[in-house]
Amino acid sequence: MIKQILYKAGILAGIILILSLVMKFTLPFYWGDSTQTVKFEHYKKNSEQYNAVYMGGSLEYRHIDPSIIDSTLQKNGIDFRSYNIAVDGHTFVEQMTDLDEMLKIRNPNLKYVFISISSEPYFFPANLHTSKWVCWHNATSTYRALSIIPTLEDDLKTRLKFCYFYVMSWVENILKIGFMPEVMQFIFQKDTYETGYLGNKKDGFYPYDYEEHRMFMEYQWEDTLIRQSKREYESNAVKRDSLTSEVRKSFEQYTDKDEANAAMVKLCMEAYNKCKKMGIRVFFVLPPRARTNYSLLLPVFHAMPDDAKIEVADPRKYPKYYAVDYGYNFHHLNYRGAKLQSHEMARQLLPLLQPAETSAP
Amino acid sequence: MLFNSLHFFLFFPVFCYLYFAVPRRFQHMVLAAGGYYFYGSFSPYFTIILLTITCNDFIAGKMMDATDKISQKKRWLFLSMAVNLGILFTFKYIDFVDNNIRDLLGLLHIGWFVPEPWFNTWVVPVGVSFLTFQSLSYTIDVYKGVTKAEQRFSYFAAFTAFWPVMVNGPIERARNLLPQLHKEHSFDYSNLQQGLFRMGWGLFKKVVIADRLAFYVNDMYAHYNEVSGWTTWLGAFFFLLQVYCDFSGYSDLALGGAKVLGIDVMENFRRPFFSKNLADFWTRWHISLSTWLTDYVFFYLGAYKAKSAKVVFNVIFVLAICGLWHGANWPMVISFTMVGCAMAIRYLWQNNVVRAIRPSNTYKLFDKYFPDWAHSVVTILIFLFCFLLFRVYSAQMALNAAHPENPVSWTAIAAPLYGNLFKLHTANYLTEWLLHKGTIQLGILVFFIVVLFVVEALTGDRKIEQVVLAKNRNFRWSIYIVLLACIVWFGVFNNTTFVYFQY
Repeated sequence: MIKQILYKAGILAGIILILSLVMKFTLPFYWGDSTQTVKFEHYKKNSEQYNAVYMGGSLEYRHIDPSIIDSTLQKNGIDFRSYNIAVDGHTFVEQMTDLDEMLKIRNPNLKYVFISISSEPYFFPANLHTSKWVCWHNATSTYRALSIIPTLEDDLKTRLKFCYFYVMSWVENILKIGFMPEVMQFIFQKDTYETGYLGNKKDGFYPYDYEEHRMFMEYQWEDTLIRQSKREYESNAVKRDSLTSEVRKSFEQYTDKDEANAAMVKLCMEAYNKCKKMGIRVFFVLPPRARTNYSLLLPVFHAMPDDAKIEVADPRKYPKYYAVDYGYNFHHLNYRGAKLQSHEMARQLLPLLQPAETSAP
Repeated sequence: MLFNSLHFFLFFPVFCYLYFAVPRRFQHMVLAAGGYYFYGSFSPYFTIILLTITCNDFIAGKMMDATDKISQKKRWLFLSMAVNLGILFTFKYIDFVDNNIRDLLGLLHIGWFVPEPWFNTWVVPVGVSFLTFQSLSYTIDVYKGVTKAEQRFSYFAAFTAFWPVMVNGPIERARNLLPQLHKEHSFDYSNLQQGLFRMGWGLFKKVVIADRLAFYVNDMYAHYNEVSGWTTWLGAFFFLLQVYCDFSGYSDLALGGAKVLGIDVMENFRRPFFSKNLADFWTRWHISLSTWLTDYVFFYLGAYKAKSAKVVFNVIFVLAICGLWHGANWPMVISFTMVGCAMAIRYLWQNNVVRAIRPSNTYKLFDKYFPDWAHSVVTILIFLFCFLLFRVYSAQMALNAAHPENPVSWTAIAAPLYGNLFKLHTANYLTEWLLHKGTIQLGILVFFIVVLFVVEALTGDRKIEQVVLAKNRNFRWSIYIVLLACIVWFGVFNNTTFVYFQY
């Protein structure tokens, strides 16, 4: 009897699974995220206009202004036309999925890719069961997360919890559990998605200062989380100072002997080599104001090839990135800060790119 | 452990396996143990309350059975009621009473000797109203001689800890449940089919319709100042439908779960949206509570056998008690009292006017041109009007939690809501409200509401699982697949609290 019950339950589950898989293979990986849909669709249509792409999460989406970097490098005779494809909420793992998918888009001009070293694969549990979060997870991203999380130094419970979250999100993505409305919205209303996500210059950069005055992401009648976070940041000097001193301490205590997380390094180097094979040069960026402890990020960053590193996080070198005038909230810069960071990135890129550019026939 | 949680989906098959695997004579013990695990999953401390109720009522029942003296029986009944109602009062009503005394004495400028309401932080045990009422019905029935006292503690423990119904009803009676617990239940494939289908249908109502309606209801109450006229009426309809789908969905899950175990539990809803009048509505909505109140309060007060004025009082009083059972707050009490008033008016109308004009041609014409569906519409409209207040207290709590710097009273929410209800030439905020989740969500919601009403109209008063299982295999499997796909794909799984859990 038990066999018969399991057999019938299996048939039912199998039918649902097959139907879900059919749906999965007809949808792009960003079906549940309107921001990513707009940014990726824009890149698909205009890919050949760009030869450089910034991957990452909000620290890149809100901080890296392609127009500043492009103009600085172009003034120095370097052909540099960049696009910011980063999306809020992406951790180290999700940006690798983005990279895989971005590389599938035909772009013979693509020469440079920027990967952010700004987070471990932890995320806000509030993101769970949202279409935006779920759509980012496939078998590869889940495998990547599961290969990193056990190697982190947090307690076993936290690591187990996040492993479970990643597996659940993947299952939810396969079966589209509760997400048919979002799938339908993607199919029927994709063209009506707000293109403001692309930013004022349609280059994928959109600082929080702009969004604050044009709230298309939130209900207009509600006070937004963005504004709340700004208010809290401005009023809570104690937390501000303690975060900055923590970052400073990580930088001060870092030594060459610090061991890098092998799983994270491996993942970065896989991306590096994959791009290299395609003739694409990878730069690893260490951004300011990351939520993750820099004592984890710094060894990983320093394990990367020397000509592929851009560091803009050290509060001793860049105190303004941690100053209240240049911050939007605890973990993000405002537009002034973003401009500073973009200029600094361009400054660091210049010597890295010039020899290659000038040696070209 | 909620019925729509992953925890339950793991618990249920394991429990069923154990239940049917153990020797039949131990099945009731597995049920009791499962019930304690189920209830303890909310908080281990809750099991102490469950155990207290169980021990108290078991002893009271046995002692009443052991004596023929009415006075002694009364004493034990009083003890049982004191403990049950004491637990209910302590956890659910003490804060409400304290606040009211405080407010009243404040008006009279008199100090209240209770310094700090330390009890207002106590967590109300999940489903405590259901637990106490179910257990109380046993001792009352034993006192009245309707039910024999249970002689074995393990069976009584299985009765009070019968997990399918323990936290959200139906409030099952001992005379129905206890004899079934004494029977040995072997696995029955037909029971499994019926039970699982019923659970699937309940889950569909809960996660596909009720939780989707919650988007709109929450938003309507959050903008109580802006909505008016038809927007408010539609919002009230959505709320009534949400409560129905949520609660009847949970009842379906309970009935289905019990059916798999081979136990039949009483129906809790019978298509209330098809009722022809208020009294009829009350016999179709939360049947286990309405019959409980009828049996143990309304009949005790004299029911319809008293004079008109007394009957009117009885009806209103019972509905007020019903409101208090639902929530320790004034909007809830007033909401149900309004229903009681409407029922009392109907009683007076029937008793005085209709009886007088029934033989006349006017009445016959009225009866002819006022069909059943029109009766249903009027009934539902009256309920909408009263139930608008039902949700005001939780709206107040939500608003005050979101904006503690600017607290509002429940009257400040209720007044504009009712004031704007009558501006029938307006429908302020309608478009923004209906479309705030997008046209697709709205379209899906409307589609599934239509599906619900069509299914209810087609099945009539028969049980849905029996209607489906009577069809041929292809039809059945098509229904299974469609139902499962709807739950999996269209369910809302990030809103996991059942509305009735607060009771």
